[in-house]
Amino acid sequence: MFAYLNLIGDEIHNFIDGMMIAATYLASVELGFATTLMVIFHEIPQEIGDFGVLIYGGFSKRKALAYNFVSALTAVIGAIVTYFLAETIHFAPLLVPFAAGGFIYIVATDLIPELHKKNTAGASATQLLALLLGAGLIAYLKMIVGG
Amino acid sequence: MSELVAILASVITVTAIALVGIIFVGLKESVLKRVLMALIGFASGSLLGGAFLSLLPEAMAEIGERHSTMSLWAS
Repeated sequence: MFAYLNLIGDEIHNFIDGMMIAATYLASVELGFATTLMVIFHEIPQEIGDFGVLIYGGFSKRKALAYNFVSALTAVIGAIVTYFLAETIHFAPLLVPFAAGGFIYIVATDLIPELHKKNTAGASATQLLALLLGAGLIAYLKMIVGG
Repeated sequence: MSELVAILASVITVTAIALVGIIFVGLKESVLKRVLMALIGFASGSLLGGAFLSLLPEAMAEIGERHSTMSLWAS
């Protein structure tokens, strides 16, 4: 059942998102806030897509919403585990580059192939504009908070 | 402890994003595809920007590698 496979994949993904948020907050509050924004931005299209997959897989809207929410809760577990583990093992500094790698991986393997599915001039222009807007927003945030 | 509060507030917000799927249910397939494309482009930019402008420079600063070209951005 691909709907259940999608849920399991989503759980792992969300768990790691939670770890990244906790680890970056432990490095600095500004970095944690920026990471949270980045996670939210890529979660929005991701969750819309996941919801569609569950509906397509035969779930009712209510069931899809409930299952998706429960799978997203693994982010909370990931964050709590990371926070308390970081008190005993000092692995938070290691998790920051890990988060950077994770984000580059998501863009390179998930998002950009998705953008390549549509390559008319208009679509490419929209994609490029949206991409620059996303990068620009993070650069701007970095400038004003200095994270 | 205040860190833990900030972390929890952030992950709970992220978790709530799981519920946004329902908003887009009524949209036409073609409109949804166009909205998704822009959102994915935006997400790509913010993740790349975040990785290269925030996370990697922070990691570099942590390690103490200040001679890299990245240190231009490191605070």
